[in-house]
Amino acid sequence: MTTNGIASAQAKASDGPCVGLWLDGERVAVRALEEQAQRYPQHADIRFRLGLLCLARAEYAGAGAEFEEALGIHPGYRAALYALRLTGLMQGTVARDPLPEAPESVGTRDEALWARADRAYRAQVEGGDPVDALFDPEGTDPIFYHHYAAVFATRKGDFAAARRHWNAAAALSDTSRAVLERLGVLPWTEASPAAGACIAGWLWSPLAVGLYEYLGRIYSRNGLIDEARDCFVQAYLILPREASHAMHLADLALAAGEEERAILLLNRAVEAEPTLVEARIALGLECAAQDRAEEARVQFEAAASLAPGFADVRYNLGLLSDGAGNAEAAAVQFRRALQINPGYLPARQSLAALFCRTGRPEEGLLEYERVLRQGFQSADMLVKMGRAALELNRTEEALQYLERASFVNPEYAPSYFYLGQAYKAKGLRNKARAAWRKHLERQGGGNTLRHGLTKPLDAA
Amino acid sequence: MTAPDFAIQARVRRTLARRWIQAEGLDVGTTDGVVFVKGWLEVEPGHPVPFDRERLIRGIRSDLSAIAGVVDVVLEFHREPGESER
Repeated sequence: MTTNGIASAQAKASDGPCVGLWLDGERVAVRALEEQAQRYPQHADIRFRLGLLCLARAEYAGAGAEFEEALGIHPGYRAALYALRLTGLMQGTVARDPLPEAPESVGTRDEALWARADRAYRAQVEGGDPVDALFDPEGTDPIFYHHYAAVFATRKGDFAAARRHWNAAAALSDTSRAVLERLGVLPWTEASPAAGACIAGWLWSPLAVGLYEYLGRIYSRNGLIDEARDCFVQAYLILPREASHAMHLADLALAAGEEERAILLLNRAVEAEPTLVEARIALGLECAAQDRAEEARVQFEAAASLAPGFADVRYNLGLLSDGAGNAEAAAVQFRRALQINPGYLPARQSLAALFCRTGRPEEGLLEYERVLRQGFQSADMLVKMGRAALELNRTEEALQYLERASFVNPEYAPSYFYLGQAYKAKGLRNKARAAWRKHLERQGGGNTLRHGLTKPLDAA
Repeated sequence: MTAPDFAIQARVRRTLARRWIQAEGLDVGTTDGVVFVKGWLEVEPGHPVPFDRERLIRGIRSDLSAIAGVVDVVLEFHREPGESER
């Protein structure tokens, strides 16, 4: 068995036999995860993912061992507990011990779905009706119910029921419809039962969504866009989350250079799940990257209200305000980022630069000093400090910063210009000339223009 | 016209993601066109070629320098706890 049966499903939907494909993505994943497991032996999630890979390939002994390992590292790992039970159920064994109750803080919407799938597999093993076991009288996650009901019906050979459930899912969700059409299941034809049978051979557990997404990312990053899309389709079917699916497709669009489509898909993700912070941030960043400042601001504002503890969101809002020429609003956002995380270097540095740029050199220097104490320096930053010190007529201090800047990056031209100014202020004309000469030797490109420099030797 | 810092910052994020760099553990900032990236250099698992740290850093620098509006790139990746590398 393979974890990826999309090509098989499509082939079966046309006319060929259902051929399992052994894809390199799985090998890459196994190798990467084993390397990671060696590097981070205490990370239970790596073991969990390795277990899922084994389970998807019907390697039950290996899967069980990995899940046990994960539980040995982290005994409260709920997903690994369910996965271990699933490993037994897939071999026809029902666990004797009931699943421990989840602490209230741990119970999640996903766990409710793990439990439903667990009940269905158990009913299957005990000779009951897994479709009945899946049913939630409260009607939550109906698309999930229809996807799984169609698969269990297919496994029983009840294709009429499978057809009914696939059609019900398609009626509820355009994404389900598009995916099922892509796989040759819908519209229902003579080939549909065979296509459905291939799909039913996947690892049907909401626990496996991370595995399929992981494989999708591996393919995507290796430039295999179609294979990546197939994995994301699998992930969607086994855990139908419209927003996550749209975000994955947006990543693929970006990989293909389709920026407009990426924005469209990210907007779809936000519409599907307006409270999904990751979608808001991803859309905000993409809008910002495309110079669509107002749209980016709207998304970051929404993300900030959903997740007030994200310093990075505040930082991006600060950059957007700064870009719009609103220095006060930018300073407020940078400060908020620093309240959330006092060690957040980007916000500290941008706040310092903002102060220096808006006529508050003393405050700018104070913030830059804090950056230095955090162990970070750059030629640009030291030049800004030197300029601020010059503005405050603290020539000795300016010289220290500027000499340090020329040491940190001897090729950074602006250091020498301001070094020349500092020497000149001290009456050291020859040193000033030498510094400006170095500046002229190095200038060119954008640096000089950016810093508004003029011909320094004329000034001497 | 040079690109605003917010656009550079977003493009830097995008560029790092394309290079498989894990954003967690990194401070990424843009100030007046100067980009800095500081922290732990980790690539996402499943990278197609063996991890070559020095080559990766050169590649990052080259990619970030090519972003419109970037005037300088400062990379400071930790090698081991307490030790840093420029």
